[in-house]
Amino acid sequence: MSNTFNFKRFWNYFTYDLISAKNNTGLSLAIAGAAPVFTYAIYQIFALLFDGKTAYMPSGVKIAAIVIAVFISILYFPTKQYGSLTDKRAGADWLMLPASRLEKWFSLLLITCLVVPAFLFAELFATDKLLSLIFDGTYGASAFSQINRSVGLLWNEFTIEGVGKLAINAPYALYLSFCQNILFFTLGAIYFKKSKIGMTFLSSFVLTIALSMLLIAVGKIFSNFDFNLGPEDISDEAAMRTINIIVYSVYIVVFATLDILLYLRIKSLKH
Amino acid sequence: MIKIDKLSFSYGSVPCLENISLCLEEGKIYGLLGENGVGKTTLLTLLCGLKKPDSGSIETDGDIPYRRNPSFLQDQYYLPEEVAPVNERAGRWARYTGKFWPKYSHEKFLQAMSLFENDPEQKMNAMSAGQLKKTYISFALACNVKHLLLDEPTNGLDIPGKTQFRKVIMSLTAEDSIIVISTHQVKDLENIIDPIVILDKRDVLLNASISTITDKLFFDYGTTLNPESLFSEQLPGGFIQVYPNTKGAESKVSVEALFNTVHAHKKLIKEMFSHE
Repeated sequence: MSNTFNFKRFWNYFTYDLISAKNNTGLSLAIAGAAPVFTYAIYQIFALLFDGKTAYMPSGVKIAAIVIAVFISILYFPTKQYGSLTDKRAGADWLMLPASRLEKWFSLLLITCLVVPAFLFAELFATDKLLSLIFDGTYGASAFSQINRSVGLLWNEFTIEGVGKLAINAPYALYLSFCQNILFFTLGAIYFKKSKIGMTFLSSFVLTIALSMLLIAVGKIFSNFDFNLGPEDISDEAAMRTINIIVYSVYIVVFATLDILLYLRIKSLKH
Repeated sequence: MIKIDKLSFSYGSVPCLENISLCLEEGKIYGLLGENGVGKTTLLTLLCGLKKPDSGSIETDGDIPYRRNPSFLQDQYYLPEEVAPVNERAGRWARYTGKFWPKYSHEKFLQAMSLFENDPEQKMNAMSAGQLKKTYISFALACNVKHLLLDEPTNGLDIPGKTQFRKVIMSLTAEDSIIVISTHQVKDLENIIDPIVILDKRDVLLNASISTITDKLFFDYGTTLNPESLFSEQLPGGFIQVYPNTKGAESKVSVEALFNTVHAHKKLIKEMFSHE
């Protein structure tokens, strides 16, 4: 049996990780996924309290409820599920489980980047849709359909002056962004021993400032060059393609870097 | 076989273990003793692969623990002094966690839980510290591993629990396994540990079987003090004394008295047992 990766052992570990995620965070994620229901209930309670009758819930409130639920889940899940790896007792148990580092790492990626978003968004979508079907008069259209109508859920088109239209696959970009954030907080959860969320926020703040300064410096260097390119030298399509490649490359590079850092952290854990 | 060769480990600039060499053989229950802070727990965590040695080596049946290869981990269980409560029923937790150890037996887990009078249907995070410890001990034994490392297993157990612990260890461990028990509660385990390893920061002061110890040392529970005694302590109704067994008489080892003797006469004891 390979010590690096074995499917049967991986499956055992993945189911173990899933059960433990269900026990540790299942209820909290289920509550986050039902955010539209709670928001709707609270909104109507206040409407009854102040106006004496139910009121139509604006789409902004619905969308805000979903965004906040996703944001809280991104902060909460990694610390609750994997934060204990830095704890002597739970961490030692985890390290001593007979599965390879690769299997443990891969399971962590699958759970944070597939299982959690699938469960969370499926529940958010279902509760949102259900409310719109049951309370058509006061809830109105579902938040997801409203987002789709206003900005286009599948393909977002942006017009860039002098270049043309840039089309971004919004769900894909949002999904990659979700993964980046949840992986970043997972890294914080297994890196910092105390104040995991606060320290991760602080590191993200420092990193953002450092990267922005780097980008400004790089931009300044490039602004000194004269490329002698006029609008006629580069086609709209080529410009769009280049921008798209840059956008997705950044996503993929960040995603890959976080994956590598997570693996290295898992490898170096000791108690 | 677990082979430790010139092992050193330090926490930052504070040395913990220095140049330790030791060999642990199959079919024995080792009692790992030592003063506070000599590094018993550290040695166990190095043996199971939770820590990496600074220098020297540990080899467990040809494997290096710190690599934490699944094939190595499958044949080992490390029970830390403090165990983590899990939000799950003990029986269910044991069933799905046991899948990782190929020789895990759920029947054995239930048998050990029953010997401990522990309820497998109880949620682990609702258990008392002692009940939780008993659950983990039951699980450790049910894994049927070759290398079982137990750190202060009787801490937190009540008086019946300590008796039950001796019972499960004697009845549910495989004959070819290596069991290392680190403890301060020597009286709890006096009758089950053999050989005894006494650790010092820079040395292994003693690594000998009970029969070798009684061959070399005599444990006198009499009422008159012997001028040759290496260690003596007054007890109600007499003394416990330890002195060299020059007459080849038989006696029963008092681990506590042995420990104190070794610590009072490190050099002499090392010389005495160096040919073993």
